[in-house]
This record gives sequence, structure tokens and C-alpha cells, in this order.
Amino acid sequence: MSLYKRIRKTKRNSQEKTAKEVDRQNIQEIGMPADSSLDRNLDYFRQQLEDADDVVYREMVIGSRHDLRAVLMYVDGMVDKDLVNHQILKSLMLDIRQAYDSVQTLKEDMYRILVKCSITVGEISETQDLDQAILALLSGETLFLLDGYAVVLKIATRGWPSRGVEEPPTESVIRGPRDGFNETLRVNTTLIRRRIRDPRLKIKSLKIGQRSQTDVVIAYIKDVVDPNVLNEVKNRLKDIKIDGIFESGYIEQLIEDNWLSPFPQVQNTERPDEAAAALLEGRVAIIVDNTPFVLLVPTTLNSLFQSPEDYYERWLIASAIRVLRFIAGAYSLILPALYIAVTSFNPGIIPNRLVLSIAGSREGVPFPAYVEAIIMEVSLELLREAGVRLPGPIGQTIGIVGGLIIGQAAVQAGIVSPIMVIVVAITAIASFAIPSYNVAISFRILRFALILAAAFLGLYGLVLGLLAIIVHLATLKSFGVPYLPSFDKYNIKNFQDFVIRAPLMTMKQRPMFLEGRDKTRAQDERPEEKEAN
Amino acid sequence: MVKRMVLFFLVLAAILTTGCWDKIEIERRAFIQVIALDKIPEEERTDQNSRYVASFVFPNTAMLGAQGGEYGSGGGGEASVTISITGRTLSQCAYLMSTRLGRVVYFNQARIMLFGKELMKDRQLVRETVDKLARDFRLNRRMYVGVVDGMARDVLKVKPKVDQLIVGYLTGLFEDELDPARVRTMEAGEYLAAMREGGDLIMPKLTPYTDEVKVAGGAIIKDHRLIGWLGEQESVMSLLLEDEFDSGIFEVLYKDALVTYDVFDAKRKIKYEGEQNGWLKFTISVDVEGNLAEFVLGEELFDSKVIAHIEGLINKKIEKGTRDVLYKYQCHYKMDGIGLNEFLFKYHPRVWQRVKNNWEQVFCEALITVESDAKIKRIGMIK
Amino acid sequence: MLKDNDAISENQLMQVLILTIMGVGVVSLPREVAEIWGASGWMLVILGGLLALVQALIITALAKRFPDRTFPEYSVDIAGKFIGTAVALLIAVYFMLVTVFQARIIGDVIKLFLLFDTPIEVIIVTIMAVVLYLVRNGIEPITRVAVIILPLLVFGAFLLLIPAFSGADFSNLLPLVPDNIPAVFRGITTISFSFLGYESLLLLIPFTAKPKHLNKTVSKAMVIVMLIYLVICIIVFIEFGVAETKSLIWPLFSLMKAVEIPGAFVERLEGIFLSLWVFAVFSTMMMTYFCAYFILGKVIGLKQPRILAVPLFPVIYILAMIPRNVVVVYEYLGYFTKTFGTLVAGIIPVIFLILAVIRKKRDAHG
Repeated sequence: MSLYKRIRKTKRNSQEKTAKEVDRQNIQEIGMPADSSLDRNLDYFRQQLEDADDVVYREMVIGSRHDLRAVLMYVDGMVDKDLVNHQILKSLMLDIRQAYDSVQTLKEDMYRILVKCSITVGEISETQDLDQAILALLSGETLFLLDGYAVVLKIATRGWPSRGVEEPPTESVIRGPRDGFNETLRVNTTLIRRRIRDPRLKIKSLKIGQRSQTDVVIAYIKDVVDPNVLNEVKNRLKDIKIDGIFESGYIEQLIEDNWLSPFPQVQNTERPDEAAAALLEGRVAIIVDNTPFVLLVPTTLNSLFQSPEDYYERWLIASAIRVLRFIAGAYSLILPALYIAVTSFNPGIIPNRLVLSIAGSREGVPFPAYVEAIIMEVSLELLREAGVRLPGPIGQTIGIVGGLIIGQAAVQAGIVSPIMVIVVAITAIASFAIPSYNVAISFRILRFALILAAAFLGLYGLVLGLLAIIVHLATLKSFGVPYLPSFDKYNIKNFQDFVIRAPLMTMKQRPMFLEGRDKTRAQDERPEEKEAN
Repeated sequence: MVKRMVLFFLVLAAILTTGCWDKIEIERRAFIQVIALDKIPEEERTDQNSRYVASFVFPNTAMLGAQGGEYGSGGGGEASVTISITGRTLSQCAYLMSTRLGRVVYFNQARIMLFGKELMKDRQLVRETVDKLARDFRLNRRMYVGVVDGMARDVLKVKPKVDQLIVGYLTGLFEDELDPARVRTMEAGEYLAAMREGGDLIMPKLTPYTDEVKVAGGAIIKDHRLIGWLGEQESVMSLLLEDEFDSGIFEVLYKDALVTYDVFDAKRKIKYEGEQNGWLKFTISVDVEGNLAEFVLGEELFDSKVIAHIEGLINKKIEKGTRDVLYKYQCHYKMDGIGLNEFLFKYHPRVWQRVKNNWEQVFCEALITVESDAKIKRIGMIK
Repeated sequence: MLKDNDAISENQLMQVLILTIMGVGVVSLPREVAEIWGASGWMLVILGGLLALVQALIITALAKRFPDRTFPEYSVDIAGKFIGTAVALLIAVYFMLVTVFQARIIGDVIKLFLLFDTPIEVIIVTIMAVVLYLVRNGIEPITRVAVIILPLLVFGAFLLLIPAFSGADFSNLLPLVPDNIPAVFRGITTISFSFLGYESLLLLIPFTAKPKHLNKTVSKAMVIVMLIYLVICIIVFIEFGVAETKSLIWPLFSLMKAVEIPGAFVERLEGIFLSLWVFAVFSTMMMTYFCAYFILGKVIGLKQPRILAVPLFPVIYILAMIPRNVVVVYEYLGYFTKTFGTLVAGIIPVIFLILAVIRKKRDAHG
């Protein structure tokens, strides 16, 4: 917390120093008022958008008497051309001409008439600030200027090439919806809105990034969210001072509590169902334009071990899988360290027969066990990284070549012992079973730390390392919420969505760690039980 | 931030320069499996001060590695190595062992510990070894102990018929699931406790042959010294009285044929019945349950009268056998081998307070009656 | 739920209290009771526990009068500036010395059982570094660590102790007549020292938010510890018998050497048990270290006592290195608990409570 504030402060200080920055901020805040002269407005636009050749200026004359000059402006490629051509241009230039005389009898302001009667597009708005108009223009809206009126009409014509709604590659599930977020903000909010048709679902947008002016949306459910958390999110987002946001990762790093921690304090997801579920838990979603990754805050370690699938499967299966996942987490964290501690320091723990086969398999291996482990772990990380970079089919080949052939050769050459290969392989598989990629990475980093600790002080070092991790987790907070689930009481309510996933009908309360107002998730008992009563 | 980095590198440097003190790679250890302790025979004594011969068995891990199998499946070199060391003290033996072997000796995985006859007869040496073993934190308290009739190291020379490693063979002999009645088992923890509580105990007896080891009978230790042996049958009867008997076979003569009674459960109860003429009076009741395993062909057994008769025969046999052992304990060795002292201490503390200083004599004079109640539960598939 | 306000709930108080009490003492407890009362020594655990419970309730009664202030803040009100400060200082030193003993004993034990060649300095410094990392952050993370450690510890100990029942002889708990009845008074006080740690209530209670059933919570914690101690003593007795127990320095470690898990999944348990024990000692050290620097800071009058956490580190470390050997450590420890322990956990709270009642000192809503 304090650290976060400190960073924010230093950032602010450095910004205040540069006068230029301040200047630009002022311009944006005050803006340039629109003039009633079309030419003067156009001049301003042309000057601001100099050398921006993708801006289209479509000049026209409206009405049969050709006495109304107007300009339509849009950025080529960012607008839906069909919309512009058929619903705006055609209406303005053709339809109005035919109806011009009758329209004139309406005796109203020409501009109003055009806006009200002629432009057949759903979402329009006005502004008198030319700078805002430019911003809208660059966001994909079409501007309409009419001579003699000091106002700019913004017509929502956004439309650009975009990926469709596809299955998210990072969080695939066996059972569950296949749709995933994509790069278009609107699509993403739609996917959430379609799941929660509650008027209390708020989707508040703001822009972040002085140059990129990226659209960012904070989504929450008003009477479920913890107001403290919401305020904290808003404040931290407001305090972001950066020129561009290209991925939600920027925001994640700028708003997280402790940037030194290996653990992610913000959850990201590509899955709308997961985001919607998080909203219902009382968390806040931060949706950023141009990226399919939606941020969910506050985050606890627990939620990073969950997969949306847990709630779709029946509870017994889901619980078993979740337990398995925690075991995978433990494996991925401590297995190599435990192996080193036990073999190099305290072989008394190993069963009599196993100790002999381990000793036998290590006979002739030139390195100490921890060096062996580090070599193998690093090679494995290399393989993994190489596999990610390479195109799909080749990536698999690398996996096979690296994993099987090199492993086999290394064992035969006597560089590593076969048991170490098994240990490392199990560790790798276990780390893939953790649903959250960023937790898996932090576990991988900590695994190396624990290997060193175990190589230094054996079992004792391993225990101290684990204690240090527990301590670190205990001090960590995400938006004021403890990162570790802090059980006030060891009662079943606290555990029902932790290591196990209790049956849905028993989970009547939202998670205890959030101070939302509407605490009840479900009230009714199961229908059968009711009937029985 | 800079401070943190400096601190981090200092710690890292400290670790790297000092190294890991206790790190010993697993293949650099010699996992001792069997320990055999002997008093050094006079003819082998080269150094005036040497008193012990300690023999250690550990597996040849290099050979195991080459085979890739567990517990030495396959040939190519000896599966296990035996080394004998002479020394003044046990600590010295272990130390010499390490230096001579070039490996770190590791005792925590030892399974068997054997003592030679001569060693057990020397009270001083026994006391020394007990203290050393109890004090040593590395010792495995679950290993089996036994006294060898002869030199303990001779057991290590035995080439087992089936097992590759001597340790597998010996453990198999002691292990519970194989327990063939006569085998007395004792773990190091029990041994050390009994030794420290006064030094009166009965230990398993091992007799080595060329390709097998017989575990039968018992070694009577009194006041930290081996004073005699119990025969096989005596040991069984003693086990019954000690409430340590689990299963076994009794044979009785019925109509000139041997009838075999296969015991699967036995319980002992002691009752203190006050004093008579200044002698303590005890009744020990032994409840035995078992099946009839062999009978006389053609004779009718499916008859409760016959069963009762045979039960009576078994009772007589048990009562006689136990009387014999008690006689040996009371009159010959003057040693409480069946745990009457513990019984008094626990259940009649006042009596115990009175007699504890004079227990040996009180025990020898005690009137002990044994009542056996054998039950034949099943008789097999034919009538 | 509790946030950044340095407050703990009653249940957390209970968990922290249990963990604070269970530390290095538990491994030698069976020997102590066996030495005093022989086979029926396990009854002594109940009696000692009851005495400790009474003392804990006295401390609770004292702390309840001043629900929002810690001991060094109200001791001045009760006993005057000089005596109040002196007593608070004494308590701070007491907690510091408890930390020293914990550090030293864990160093000795780990060196003996796990790391034979590693310098004891390294063992002590490393665990203290982790403790320091935690306690700097105040009471709230401490409780959060406690609630993680406690179930781990209970569950792990349960798993390790269950196999000890197989083949154990329950008649080892007989006779029910104590060896030495006149020693009962000395015995009870000695055993009640094994429950030391409850004096941290002086500091814990003011941190407890909206306490309603403090007496009940404290009693519950003490009874739980008593039961755990009882189970441990009984298991050690039935496994070893009295005579053997008397001669073992750390009967619980010896028990772990003697116990075997069926199925031979793990050969020797002592390594695992020692790891669990490190957790237990850690959780005691974190509380005593916290109490030491916090009370000291309050006595000096610091607004942020946490700045004292780091300077205290070398002091504790140097003090921990003073005793020459393990025998001396235990002699010092015995002497220390007899004098300081009685004073801080027994006499001072009683006197202060009486003084507070007589002088009618209490805070408004206390």
C-alpha cells in the first residue's frame, strides 16, 4: 500500500516538472470552442490534423437551393462505410433535397431539422469543443459540421475490422461457454451485459493515456460491490499518468499494490462468464479497449486457483478437481526443492528401498543434486519458451525433441539421473494444471528460490522458504483486501468455495472478504426440499 | 531499492562463499543396513585397547545403479558390502568406518542390529553400547535387535537362499506378517528402554548356519548381562506368560497320534491374590484360541466331548510348559522374565512400594499358578 | 472483515494465543511431568493447565479494564510513572528473552537433528530473518499467518501422532497414584510454565476488535492447548513408559523416531515432525518478538514501534549465542521461567489488577 502510494507520488512529481506536459493537459481540459463559421472550424481541424491523410473531409451542399454548406469528417478505415454512405450521405444529400420544401415549412432551425429528421443513425451527440470532436473523430466517429452553427455533431459510426468472438485460447474449458472477449471494447461489454441483465450493472467508461486515449470501462454491480474497493479502483485509475495503454497489462502494473511481489494481485481473464461471475461476487472488472484481457480486482490467491468450469461441473467432481489443482500447485512449488532437501540432506525420510534406487540412479552423475535440478529446470523453461514462440506444429515438435530425446540422451550420458528427470517432468506437468498463467509463472520463479533455499539448508531451508512465502502472502493485499483468505473462524462458510467447491445450493453468501451490501447469493432452498417440508 | 539489492547480493554471496555445510549427495552416503557388534576375540586382538568388532552391511549402490533395479536384483558384483572394524569404542568404530570407506556413514536407515554372545556376557560393554545407542540421535529406533549364539558377524556371512541381501532376509525373519510363533521380536527402542530400566529382559536368539539363520528361543539378560538361554519351547511358553504370543502351533498326544493345535490368538491375565505366609500369590490365566489343524484319521472329532478332551490335553501341556519356564526363572536365573514387577507397579502400586527393594527374592518365593483355557474354535473341512 | 486497521477478531485472538503457547516447551513437557509425578504425571498437565487458565483470566480481567490501551500505556496510570514504566520495560525484556530462548533452542535442536555441520548462527539468523520480515508489518499479518499455520500444524501433528497408537501399551498410564504427592504444588507451578505465552494477552486484547466473550475465548484457547498437551503426554507415556520418558531430553522427538507410518510411505518421521515444529516455534517467536518491540516502543513513546523491530534483531541474536551448551540453555531457561515467568505471567498482573481495582482505574467503556 505505502509502496504503491510512493510510486504514484514520484510519478506525479516527475510529471509536474515538465511544463510541456502541463501545457498539453491544459489544452485538453479547456478545449477549443467551436465557431459558427464552417471555414474557421475546418481550418482548425486541418491544422490539428495536419498530415493525417486518413481523415476524410466530405464537403457538401444541402438542399435544393444549395445554400447550406456542410462537411462530413471521418477517419478512413475506422468507420462503417456502409453506414456513412447510406444512412448519412444519402439522407443528407438526396432525401432531404426531395423533401426540402416541405421541411422548410416546419419553420425550425435547419440544424435541428437535419439532426432530427435526416440522419438515420442511432447514436448521435453534440459537442461545442473542437478538441473533443477530434478525439471522437479519432475514435471512429463521424463528425458533421453545418455552416452557421457553432456545434459539431458526432455520429457513432464506429466500425473497423475486428476479430469475431472466438474461443479464448488461454483458458479453455471442457464444459462451459465457448465465447471469449476480443479486442473491441463494445463487444466485450456486450458479452458481459448479455449475462447480467441487471440495471444495477454499471459500465462506466473513462479514457486513459494522454496520447492513446484508450477507452477503459469499469464494470461493477452497484449494490453488490464493496464501495471501498470501487473507490480505490477509481482513484488508482484516475491517477494513472501514461502516454499510451496498449494492453490491460499496463493498467495492471500501474494499479497493483506491491510491484515487488511475484504474485499477481490482479486477475485477468478472457472469459466473459468468468468476468460476470466475478461481478456477481462483488468484484470490479476493468475492461480495456484493444485487448481481450479483462482485469478483475480485488484478487485473492484463492480466486487464481479457480476455473469457471468449477461451477459448471457437479460439486463433487469440481471439488475433487480443485483439490487436485492445489496439489498441483504444491507440486509445482516444492517438488524439486523437496527432492533436493531430502536426498542431499535428510535421506532418512525416504523409504528404505527407494533410497537405494535413488542412490543407485545418481551413481556417476557429476553434479550435486541442486545443480542437476537447476540445469533441468532451466532447460525445461527454455523448451517452454521456445514452444510458445514457434508456430503450433513446430512447437509440438520442439516439445517432443526437447522433452523426450534430450532427456533420454542426458540420462544415458550420465549428466542427470533418471529420477531427477521424473521430478522435473512432474513439476512441469503440475505447473500446467494451475489455471491461472500468471500464478503459474510466479510459482515457477519461487520454485527456483526454494531450490536454492533447500540446497542451502535442506529441509529446514525449505520450511523457512515456505514460511517466508506464507508471510509474504499474509502481508500482501489487493485493493485493501487480504490476498490470502483470512479466516476469521474455521467454519464451513469460509471453506465452501476455497479448497473445495461446495454444492451451489449451500453457497448462499457471497465471499466474506468483500464488504458488499447485498450479501445473499441465493435464498431459496432446493425445490425438492421445499416440497418435502 | 538499492539497499535491498545490496542486501540480496550480500546474502547470495554469503551463501555461495560458505557453501552448504550439510549437503552430502545421496550416492556419497553408505546406508548401513545391518550392524553386528562383537567383543573382540582374544586371538584377533592386535591392539591392546581394541575391545569391539563392529561389522556393518551396506548396499553397493553403484552396482544397484548399474542394474537399475531395486534391492539388488541381478548379479555383477556383490549386492551388499560387509566391513568389520575393530576399535576401542563404538564411536571410534563408526568413525574409522567413515574414514576407511571414503563415504559418509548413515545409520538412520539401519534395520537390524545384532549382538554377539561374548559381548552380551560382558556387563561393562553392554552398558557402554546401550548408552551410546540411546544417546545417538541418528540411530533408528525401529530396527530389530537380537543376540547371536556365537559371533554376531557370522550371521552376516550367511548366504541366504532366496534373498540377495542379507538385510532383506533378516528383516523377513523378524517381520510381523511372517511371524511363526517362536520368533521373539524386539526393537531397538524397547531394548534400550528395558536396558535403562534395570537391564532385565529377554531378547531374541539367532543361530547362524551356512545358508540360513534360525531365529528361535531367547537370550536371558539379567542386570545387563547375558546369563543363559531359553530353548525354543521354553521361549514359546515364556511368550505366553509375557502376553507377547500371537500365533503358533502346539502338539499334543491323543490316541498315540500327534494332534496339532494352531493358535491364532492368546491372552494373558495376571491376578494378584494377596499374600500367603509372606509369599505373594499370583494367578496367571492364559486364554488361547485356535483351530485344530491335524487330527487322527478316521477318528470322530465332530463331538464336543472329544473337543473338550483335547482342550484339556492342550491346557495340561501349556500349564506344564509354563510351570517349567517359571521354575527356570524363579529358581535358576532368579529373574522376573514375565513382567510381574511391571504388573505390580501398575496395578498394585502399594504392594510394589513394599516389595520393590527386595523384588528378586520376593519373585523367587512367589506362588504363581498358571491356568490355561484353550479353546478349539474350528476343526477344518472334515469331521 | 478486518482490513488495514491493526485489529483482530476474537477468533483470531484464540488462534494466535494457541500458537503462542505451543512452542519449544511442548517437546520436553512429557519429561517434566514424568519427573515430577511419574506415570500419573499426565494428570499434572490438567492441574497445571487450570492454574495457567486462572492466571490468563486474571490478565484478561486486567486488560479488559483498558480495552483500547496496551499495557505500557495504562501501567503508568495504575502504578505511577516510575513503577509503571519500569514494569512495562521488564515485560518487554521478558518477551525479548523468551524470543532469545526460542531462537537458541530451535538452533540447538535443528543442529542436532537435521544440520549437523551447519553453524548454529546460520540456523538462528535465518529463522529470525523470516520472523523479522513478518513482525515488521504489525499484528494483522501475524494473525493471518497464524490462521494458516494453525490448521497445518494441527492436521500434520494429528497425522504424525496417530500411528503412535498402534502397538502402544495403555497400561503405561498406570498407576493412577502420583509418585510424589507433596510435590504437587511445585509440580503444578512448573507445569503451568509450559503454558507460558498467555501473558501475550496483555498486548493482544487491546488489539481485539469489539470483544464480547473474552473470558470464554481465552478459556477455550487454554483448554485446547491443555488437551493437546494432554494427548501428547499420553502418547509419549504409552509409547515409552515412564522410566524411559524421564531420561529423554526431548521425548517428543524420540517418539517421532520410534513411530512408524504403516505402508512405509515415509521411513523416518522425525524430519517431517521437525519441520512442523519449526512452524510451531516460528509462530511463538513471531508473537513474542512482536510483543517485545511493541512494548519497548510504547515505553519509549514511539508512535511507530515497528522501527524498533530491526534494531532488536542483533540484540536477540547476540543474547541467543551466549549460553555455552544445551545443558546451560535449559538451566537458564528453568531459572528464567521460575523468576521472570512467575513475575510477568503471575505476580505482576495480580498486583496491577488489585491496584487498578483499589484505585478505580478503568477506561470509560471498559
